[in-house]
Amino acid sequence: MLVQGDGRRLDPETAGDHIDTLFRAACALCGSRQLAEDLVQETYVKVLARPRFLRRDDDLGYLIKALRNVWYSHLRGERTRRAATDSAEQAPDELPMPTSAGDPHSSLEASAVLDALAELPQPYREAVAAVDVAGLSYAEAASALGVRQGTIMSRVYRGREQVVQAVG
Amino acid sequence: MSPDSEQHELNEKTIRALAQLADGSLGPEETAELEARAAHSFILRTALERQRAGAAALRGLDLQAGPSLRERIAAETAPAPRRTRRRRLALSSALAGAVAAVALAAVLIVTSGGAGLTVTETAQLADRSATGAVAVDPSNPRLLAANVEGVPFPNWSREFGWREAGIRSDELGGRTAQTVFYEKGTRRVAYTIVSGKGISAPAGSAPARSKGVDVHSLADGGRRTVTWWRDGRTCVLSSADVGDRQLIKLATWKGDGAVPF
Repeated sequence: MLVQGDGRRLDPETAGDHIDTLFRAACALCGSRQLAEDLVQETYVKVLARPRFLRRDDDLGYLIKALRNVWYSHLRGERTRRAATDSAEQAPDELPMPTSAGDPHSSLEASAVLDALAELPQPYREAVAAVDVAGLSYAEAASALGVRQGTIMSRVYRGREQVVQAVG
Repeated sequence: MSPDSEQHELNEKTIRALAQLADGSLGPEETAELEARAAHSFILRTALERQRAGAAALRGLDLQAGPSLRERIAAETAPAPRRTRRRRLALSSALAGAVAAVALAAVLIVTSGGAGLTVTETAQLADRSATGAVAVDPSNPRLLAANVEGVPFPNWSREFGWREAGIRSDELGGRTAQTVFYEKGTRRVAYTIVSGKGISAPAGSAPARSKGVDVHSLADGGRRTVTWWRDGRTCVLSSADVGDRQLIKLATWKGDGAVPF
């Protein structure tokens, strides 16, 4: 266990600098702008609930890892809820994804890429969300996702390949 | 080119190198070597072009957090004087009450089943402020788009006129406690759902059964609190403005089966 003195303390104020990157990664993971906002907020609430001490100078990697845990927690919750309410025919959660630019062409393109991301197997989606969308290095992504660096590279390759195939 | 030769050219090592080459993270020597190979291989050239196209599309995603999320995160990350003051007060109280806490520990363990966190502590979240907005579940208007481990919050606006006013999330005793604040006129109630195994009702709380749900009510200063379980998770409804009967009515509302218990 990491204790105070073993590493640098995560600064809550600078952690807030990563909000856009985390939001993009959350969109890539879940495909819903509204849910992505909830996931990002939940990530910050969890991370800032108590002081965090990082081994490396890798705040974003730490936040991505926390975001991924929040996403998994959400998926588990959804499964439980759907099993409990037996509502298999619920409407999908995807919402329109306006971009910051508001350019219709750009919006369509982003929407197509996000649709393609949603079709990826979870490990590929996580890898491209971490490396291509959040901008982590392969080493940082490997650390955040708990797999080997070579595995991240393979998953990124296959994820990109399937996105290109889907977007055409 | 046969599938065998494609498989040979795009082996795992090459795939990883292509991924790196496409985003510029491959070392200079490996880059030169792979580019030389690609110059003589249609398969490698095509794969590299597709990698570059994929990386560009993904890296060019132009999405920014909205103002509402920025405000919510700013509230979490800014060293707000009020929060600091509360923490200082909490620390002072903790030090001043340390002896009393030790003396009470045995009692708390007995009354809360040894779980650490108590219903009374959870009910105190009602005094805090919301940190974000909460929306109605677009797929089910009788629920809000917020849940704890799959246990969703109800939407009471249509049935009772209580509108959702905000949400906050806290870590208490290693658990996640999410609280939705509802308002009706000037009155306010706080509905908290706690993650993890259910917490025992406090000793001295009054048991009751309504619509098949076992609830316990208690008073804490000027606040009334009702606690019950849904899907094994502890729910706590607390208000300084509403009596037990109304709290129990809200707590046990099942929305014709839309609110899972």
